[in-house]
Amino acid sequence: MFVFVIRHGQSRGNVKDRENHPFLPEVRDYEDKDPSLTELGRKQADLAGRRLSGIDFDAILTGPLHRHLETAYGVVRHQKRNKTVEIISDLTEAGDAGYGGIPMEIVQPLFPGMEIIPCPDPSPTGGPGVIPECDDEPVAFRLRGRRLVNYIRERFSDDANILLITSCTFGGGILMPALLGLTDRDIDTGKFFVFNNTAISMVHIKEDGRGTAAFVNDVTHLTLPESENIEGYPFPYIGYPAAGGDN
Amino acid sequence: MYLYIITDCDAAPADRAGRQMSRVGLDAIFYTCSERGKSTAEAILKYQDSDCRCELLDSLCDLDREKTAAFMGVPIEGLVGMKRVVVVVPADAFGKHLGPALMHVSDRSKNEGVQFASTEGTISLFDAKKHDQVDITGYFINSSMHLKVSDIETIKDLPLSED
Repeated sequence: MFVFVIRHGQSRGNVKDRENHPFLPEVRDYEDKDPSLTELGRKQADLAGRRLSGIDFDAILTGPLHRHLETAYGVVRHQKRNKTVEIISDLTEAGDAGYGGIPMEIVQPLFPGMEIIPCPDPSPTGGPGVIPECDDEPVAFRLRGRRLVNYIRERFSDDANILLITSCTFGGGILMPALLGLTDRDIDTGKFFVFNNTAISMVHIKEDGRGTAAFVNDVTHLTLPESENIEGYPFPYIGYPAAGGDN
Repeated sequence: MYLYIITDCDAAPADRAGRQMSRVGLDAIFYTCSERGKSTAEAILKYQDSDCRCELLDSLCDLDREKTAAFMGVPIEGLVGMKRVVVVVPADAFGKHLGPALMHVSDRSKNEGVQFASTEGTISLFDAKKHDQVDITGYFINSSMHLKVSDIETIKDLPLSED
C-alpha cells in the first residue's frame, strides 16, 4: 500500500498579517478557529494536485478543518476518477480537539464537483467522531495516530494508493512515525519530521505491515525554474525551515 | 548544524546534486571510503567555494549498526562550529542505518523494520541543533527534486527501492 501524506496549503493562520488575506463571507464566523487558505495556499494546493494527478487514489481521506478541505479540493480537481473526499476526524491538527469543522451545509457548496463525506460518529477509526479534549495529551496523540494507521491497514488492499491530508504537528510528529511503525518512545522525542505547506511524503507499507519512507516533505511541485520564480514560493528550498505556525 | 546526507551515485546525478547544493555554502563535505563516494563528493565540491573542505570520514566506511551508533554517540572532531556539512554515504547505509539513527529510531523500532528507501543521488536534510545530535529534526528525506527538474507531474516515477 502506498500512503501519501500531504500538509495543507498556507493558511491565514500561517501568516502574521491575517487581515491582508481575505476569506469568503460564508466562513466568517469560523475564521478564528478554522482559518482558510491564503491565495498562495490555494496555489500550492493546486500545484500539489497537479503533481499528484498521475496517481489514481483509491481513497482521499482528509481532516475536518477548512484548510484541509481547501487543499483536498486542489487535489480532487486534478483527479480523473475519484472526486470524493472522506472526512476522518482523527486527521485533524493537534490542539483542535472537540472541533468537528464547519457545518456541512455551509462547506459543501464551497467546493463544486467535490463530494464530501462527513465523518460518522463514532469514527470508523474506532475513535469518537469529534476527538475529546484529552487529545492535547501525548498519549492521546499516539492513540490517534495508531488507530488511524490500523484503520488504513485493515480497510485497504496492499496495492491501494491512499492520500491523507492533515496538518504539520499531527502529520509530521505523530502520523508519519505511526505509519513507519515507530515505538511510543520514538514518537515521544517530539516533532519528528517537518512538513512544509503541501509537502508530500510517501510511505510504502508492505504486506507484513512494515513501513518504508520513500520520501518525506517533498515540495518539488512548489519550485519553478529560476526564470519563472514567483515571490512567495520557497525557491530555492534547501536549507529553508518550514513555514511558521502550525495552523 | 545543517547536516545534509547525500547518497552516492553516478556522475550525472552527482553533478545535479552538486548544482543543487551550490545554493548552500558548505563548510565541509565528508565521504566514505569508496571511489563512488569520493567522486560524488568531488562533484559536489566543484560547485563550492575554495574554503570548503572535502575529506574522507573513516568512521562512516562500511557503515553498519554498530558504526552508526558510534557515529551518533561521539562528536566528530573538526565538526564543532560548522554550520552546513554534507556527508556522502551509500544509499543502503543511509536507508537502513544512518537515516533511522538520525531520526532517533530506537533499536526496537529498527528491529521492526523501520527504514528509509535506499535511493541513489537523493538529498536529505537534518537539523542537528546540538552537536551531540540529541535534538535532530528531519527537514526532508530522499529529496530528488534536482533529478526531476522540469516536470511537476512525475511523482509516480520518483525512485522507490525495496530492501
